[in-house]
Amino acid sequence: MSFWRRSLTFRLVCLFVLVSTSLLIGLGLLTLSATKDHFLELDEVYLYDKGLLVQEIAQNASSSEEVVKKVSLAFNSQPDLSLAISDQSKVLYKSPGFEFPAYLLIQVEDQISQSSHSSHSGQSGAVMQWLAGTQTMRAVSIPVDGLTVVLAVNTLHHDHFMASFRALMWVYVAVAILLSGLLGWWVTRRGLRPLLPIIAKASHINAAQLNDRIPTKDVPVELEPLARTLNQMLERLEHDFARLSGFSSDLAHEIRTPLSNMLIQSQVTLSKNRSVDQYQETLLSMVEELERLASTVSDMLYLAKTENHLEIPNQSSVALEAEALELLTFYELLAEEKFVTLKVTGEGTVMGDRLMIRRAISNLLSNAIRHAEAHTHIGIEIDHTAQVTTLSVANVGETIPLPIQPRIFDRFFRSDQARTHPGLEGAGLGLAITQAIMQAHGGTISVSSAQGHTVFTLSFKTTG
Amino acid sequence: MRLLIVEDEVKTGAYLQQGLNEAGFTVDVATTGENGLHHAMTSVYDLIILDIMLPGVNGFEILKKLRENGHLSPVIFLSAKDRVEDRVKGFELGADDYLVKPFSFSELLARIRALLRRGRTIESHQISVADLNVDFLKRRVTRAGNRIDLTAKEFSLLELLIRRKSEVLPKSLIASQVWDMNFDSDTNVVEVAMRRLRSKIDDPFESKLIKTIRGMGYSLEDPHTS
Repeated sequence: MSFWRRSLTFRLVCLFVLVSTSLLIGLGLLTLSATKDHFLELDEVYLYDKGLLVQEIAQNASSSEEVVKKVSLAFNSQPDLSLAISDQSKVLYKSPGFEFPAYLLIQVEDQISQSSHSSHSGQSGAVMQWLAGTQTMRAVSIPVDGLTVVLAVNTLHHDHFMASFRALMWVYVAVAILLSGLLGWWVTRRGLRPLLPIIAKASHINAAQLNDRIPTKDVPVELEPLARTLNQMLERLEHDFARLSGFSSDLAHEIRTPLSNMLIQSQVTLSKNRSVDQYQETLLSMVEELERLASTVSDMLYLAKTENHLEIPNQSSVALEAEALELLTFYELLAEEKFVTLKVTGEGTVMGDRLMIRRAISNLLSNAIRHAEAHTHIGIEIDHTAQVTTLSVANVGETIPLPIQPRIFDRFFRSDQARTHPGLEGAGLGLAITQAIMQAHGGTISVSSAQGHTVFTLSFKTTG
Repeated sequence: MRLLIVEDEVKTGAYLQQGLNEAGFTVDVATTGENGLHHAMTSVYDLIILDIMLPGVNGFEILKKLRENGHLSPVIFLSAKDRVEDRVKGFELGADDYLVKPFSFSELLARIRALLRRGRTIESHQISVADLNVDFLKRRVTRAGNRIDLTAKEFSLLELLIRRKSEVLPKSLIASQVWDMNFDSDTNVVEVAMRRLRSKIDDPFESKLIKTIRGMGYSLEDPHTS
């Protein structure tokens, strides 16, 4: 069973053999039965031919005795032919050494009585057949002027022919089946040969050469989709792998910088005696640094879990305006400090995880407040159509240049590449987390920024 | 109050012991699961802090054995594992809290105090600290006889501080208790809110009740009693 599953060649050979076996056996049986029918017909023609001869002889004879005499004389020299002549009451002549079976004679008598009423219907009876010892006999009865002549022929020579023909046929069928199996094997091997370069290529691709592709030009048309699909898979893997590598190095950088800061600071502080205030200052700055590190690590874990669907969103109905309003009570304090006003308009309900959605909106609000110019307005607008429910956060502030707009959702992306104020900007994971949350909900996040107006939009599928 | 810490990381155990000692607790530390289980089964503790990954018997098993044997002391799990299943498992076994490493010491302290107080104090309708009086039923705040008007959130914030007076409350705890922000959020908001509350409670008065403990959080206490 497992071999059946594993070997395509085995499977195809089996199918080949199955198909050729049924075809050949069918053909063989058909041929045999046609040959048999043909022999039967030959015998029939032969017997009726002889019957005509009997009738001819009988027409030229004057009495029954003469008929018997002439007929028996005419057929004595034919060894494969036996003869019986009877009138209504008794058998007048029988070929020597040959026994007609009793039932045939009765039948013959029946036929005689029937045929005595009907006119010369030379073809009155069908060919009769019986076994005499080991031989098969065939006979016809011919009514001749009140007599019935039964002519019988043995089919020995046909039987011999049929036996040897049958044997030859089955040998041929067996050989043909075997050959078709071999042919199937060969054809399969040959047919699968175009897979070999794909296999060879695929077996050489590893993490270091994910940019390699399987050739699609020389493969047969049937295999082209396979090669293309594999290439698409490689492309996705390459992309993810590149992102992962970039992520690891970003992470290393992200952690290395604060670590080295703390190390230097501790060592410098320890290098000579200092006042209690100075020690406290050092420790406090380290606490700040460490808190940032801790939050980066937990953000990264959260991001990884969300992206890998380990954090599966609870599906419940979430009223976006209610969440936004609650978040407003948290953020309006911060906004007031910057003389920025916040307002929620519209409404919409989506299916999803309340806490995750809240976190997504919270990240957008926090960003909007951070980048808003003083004395401006931040609008949170919720809208829904039959297909999508959107929540957008719009603020007035510095325009995000078009070329970097797609990159702001990358991990650790900061508009300020020098990373001079990490404390002000956070770890640069907020938008990546928001995007991952949206993806986990089957939604999207988009940005548009022009002439000092920046709008981030969360789009959910409308449900219900 | 007597606490047991089961933690195989020696440094972590030692620092926690020092910190909790200084916060007024008597603390035993066990560095293996077997030791911890033995301590917990033979002595009486007001609260047990369990690491999950321990050599020998792990934290889950310790808690299971304890609960099977009728020991009902509150248990806080400390773990570097942040999987939802682990949290769920911990709570199913009867843990009272679950903290993911790295956590801040003030957060741990605040949670320990909350657990120890649980079920023991009757929620009073009115609390006074120095000349500040908060009436929770009437939602009225007075200081030195002067009525102070607070917004709803300011009142919640003051309520949290005064109900847990003399405790250091980390910003993350405040954000989660007052605004239900249960994830790492912008804690600048807490600073702003605290500044506003101070402008009403403390600024007009001579003695300041709300203290900022740098790197730790905030606490409300009578400056003359401490």
